[in-house]
Amino acid sequence: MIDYKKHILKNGLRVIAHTDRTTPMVAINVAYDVGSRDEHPDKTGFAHLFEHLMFGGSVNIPNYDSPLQNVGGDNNAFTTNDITNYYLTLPAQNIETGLWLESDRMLGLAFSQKGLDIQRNVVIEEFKQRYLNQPYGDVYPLVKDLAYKVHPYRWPTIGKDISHIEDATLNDVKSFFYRHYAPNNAVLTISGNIEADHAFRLAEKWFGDIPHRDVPGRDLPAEPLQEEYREKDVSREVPYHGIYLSFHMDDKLSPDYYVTDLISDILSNGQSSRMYRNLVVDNGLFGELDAYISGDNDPGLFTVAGKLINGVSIDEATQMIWQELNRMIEDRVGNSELQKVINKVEANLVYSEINYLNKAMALSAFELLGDAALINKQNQYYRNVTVDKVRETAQQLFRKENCSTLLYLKKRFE
Amino acid sequence: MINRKKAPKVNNLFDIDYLLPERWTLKNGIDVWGINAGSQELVKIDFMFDAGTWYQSKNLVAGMTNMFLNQGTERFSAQQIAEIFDFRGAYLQLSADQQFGNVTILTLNKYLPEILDVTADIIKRPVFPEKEVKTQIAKKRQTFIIENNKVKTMSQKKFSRVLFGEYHPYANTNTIGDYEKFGRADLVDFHSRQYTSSGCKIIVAGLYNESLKKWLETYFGEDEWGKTEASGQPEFEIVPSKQMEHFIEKNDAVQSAIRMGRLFPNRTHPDFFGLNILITLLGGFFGSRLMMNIREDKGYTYGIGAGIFTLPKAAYLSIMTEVGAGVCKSALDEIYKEISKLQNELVPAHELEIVRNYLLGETLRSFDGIFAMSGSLKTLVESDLDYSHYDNFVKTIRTIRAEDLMQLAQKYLQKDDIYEVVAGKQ
Repeated sequence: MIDYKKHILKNGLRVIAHTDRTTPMVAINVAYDVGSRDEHPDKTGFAHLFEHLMFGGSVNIPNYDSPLQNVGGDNNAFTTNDITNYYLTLPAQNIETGLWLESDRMLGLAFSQKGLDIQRNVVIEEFKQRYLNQPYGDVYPLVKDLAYKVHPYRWPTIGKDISHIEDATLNDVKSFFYRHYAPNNAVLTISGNIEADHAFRLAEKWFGDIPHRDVPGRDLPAEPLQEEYREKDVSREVPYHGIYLSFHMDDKLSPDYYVTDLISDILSNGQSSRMYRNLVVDNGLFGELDAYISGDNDPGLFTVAGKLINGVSIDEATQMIWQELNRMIEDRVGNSELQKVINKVEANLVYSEINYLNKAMALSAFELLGDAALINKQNQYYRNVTVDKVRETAQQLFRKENCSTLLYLKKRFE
Repeated sequence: MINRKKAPKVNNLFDIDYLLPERWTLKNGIDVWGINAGSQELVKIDFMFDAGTWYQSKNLVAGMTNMFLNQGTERFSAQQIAEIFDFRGAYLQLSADQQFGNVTILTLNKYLPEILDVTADIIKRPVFPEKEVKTQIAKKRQTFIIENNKVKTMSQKKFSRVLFGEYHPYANTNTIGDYEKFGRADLVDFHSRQYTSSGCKIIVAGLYNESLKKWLETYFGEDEWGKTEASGQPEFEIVPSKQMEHFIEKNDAVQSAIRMGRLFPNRTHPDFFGLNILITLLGGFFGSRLMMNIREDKGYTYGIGAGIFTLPKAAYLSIMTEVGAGVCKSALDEIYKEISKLQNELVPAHELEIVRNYLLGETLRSFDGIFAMSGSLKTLVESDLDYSHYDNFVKTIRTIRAEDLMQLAQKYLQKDDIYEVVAGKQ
């Protein structure tokens, strides 16, 4: 159970405070309700490029990092399909430095051509490091492109194409800021060694005078129901064949989301899980085999990803995966097998509560999803999952026409 | 109206108020360190053994012995062990480095007795069953090949061999052929010699009470286990490469991986703390010279870093980055320029102030929360140091002068002493 308080400033900024006296530090987390799903299809990668620009100085402060480091702080940020999240930790007595920095960059950025030029290069190098210069690096963009035809989840956060980043102009960037960066489009969470009322007073002091901005509502095209099985193969210079089966699943506010999460755990979380025991250990077909959910706010993907042991045929491997998926439908999952994954989720929630920064991030993310209170309802949602529910959801999920398969074949390897 | 141009007042009150561990000894002589803290009903326990690559006579044996500990014991099959942990949401982490073989558990307190019972079996009575061993080797071999094809791994491995020589356990000389050169017998032998009560140390962190002590005694402390005769401390000579520049070609690389550095004084050397501050300034944080120049000014890379890596019997400097293949030469030139600046110009006062405060904040962070506290304690236990080590570091952070840093740069960062390894496109 995580105790927190919530308060909304006049400009619409939602502020959440959580006290944790086991640390001498505080965390400040600012989550903006903008992710790669909010990008124009011809200008992808903007949300993430923008995250980089947020460190290039703001209207009143030429440099973001030095003043923070000067009070013993540390910071970073990440962009997902759904949100852009900035976080910092610092000794509690210097919290105002953190709030000064975060509020000023919400107020406005010091847009400069040089800053943009450099960060474009940095992001292009990031693109290469993550997607081009790694074996299997482009799997994730390929999977998304195959599974989504309409919804903006069809491109990856880094962008669909390097050229979108290369072509970004200062004007594009400015208009992106004023469309999405606003107090009324963000959640500020302060956690750690601080009293909630004090946190609210400081939030008012630093963020209270930032003007409310007109933020266009989100109107994303829904992904139409997939009606036909899709398959694509590519060949790359990798050591092993890879198979990726993706299925459309429910959005994060749906109760089925939690059922699907547990299905992925039953199949592949831990060395006692089904697919691991059967296909990795007993049959020795795969060197690696995982099932996971994408964790997106809008309807996301349930993916089974495997790398084959050399000599095993793609057909046999695919068939064996399907056999495991079908078993989820045909046979009831054992009570203790279900209890096991629920226990595991519950223990993980306790472990994650050790860290005040984790809690700040989670509170912000849930608030953006709809309500911070969801953070304390997780346990119950997982506990409500029954053996029958697992079967019904598996039935919905593992239909051939709901599946997109990427075969990632090895070309040659030395 | 607040004045946004002016930074809020800086409160320099970084007193590091760490909780000293309690220490006790089990009946059979095993030393235990305990940090009783936190607010969640859970504990993390590290069991450390003299079972790193230092003690192996064939490549991979230390790592594989460690990895197979949970693949079956006299009482439990691999499947049962996995079930016991998974059903309780507990974690078992196995890892071996150059010096130590580690078994780490994380569990809610309510499951502690059952988890300790099976952990004792894993440590004392693993059977290394043929079938499970074979599956895991195939798996590991696969990961090895994938990793080995990354420029980052290529440069890292080469760099370790350049620093320590082909026959030193701190060098990573593993090849794919090594996966065929050992068998079950090697693992059984290594286990019986190195996973012993006489070579075991235990670190506990979390909320615990007297019953934890009683259980540790019951499961690990009653009698001596493992081979009792001392297996001895092997000694190795470090033989660094005579050639300073090394290149590994990978023609399809779009980025080249760079590793630069040299052997450095160890934790106990008087220059260690000063060097730590110097290297932080060079490449140890986001505002470092290398990040500001090579990423934030030139845009050559997504990230660049420098750090001192300490092992119980050696330490080294490593500068690490992956840069666009076309700008590799320019990046190297810029790195040397930054080094020579440290040797020829005094660090400006405000920059030194930032580094001091950043490092004080980091030190605070390294004792923040039970996992961080237990990690910082483990570092001390590994190198046989006490908490005055951190006190002295804080003292140096507060007092070091720009002149000291320049002298250290001149003494330890001579271009001729620095190895340079590049993997990527020529």
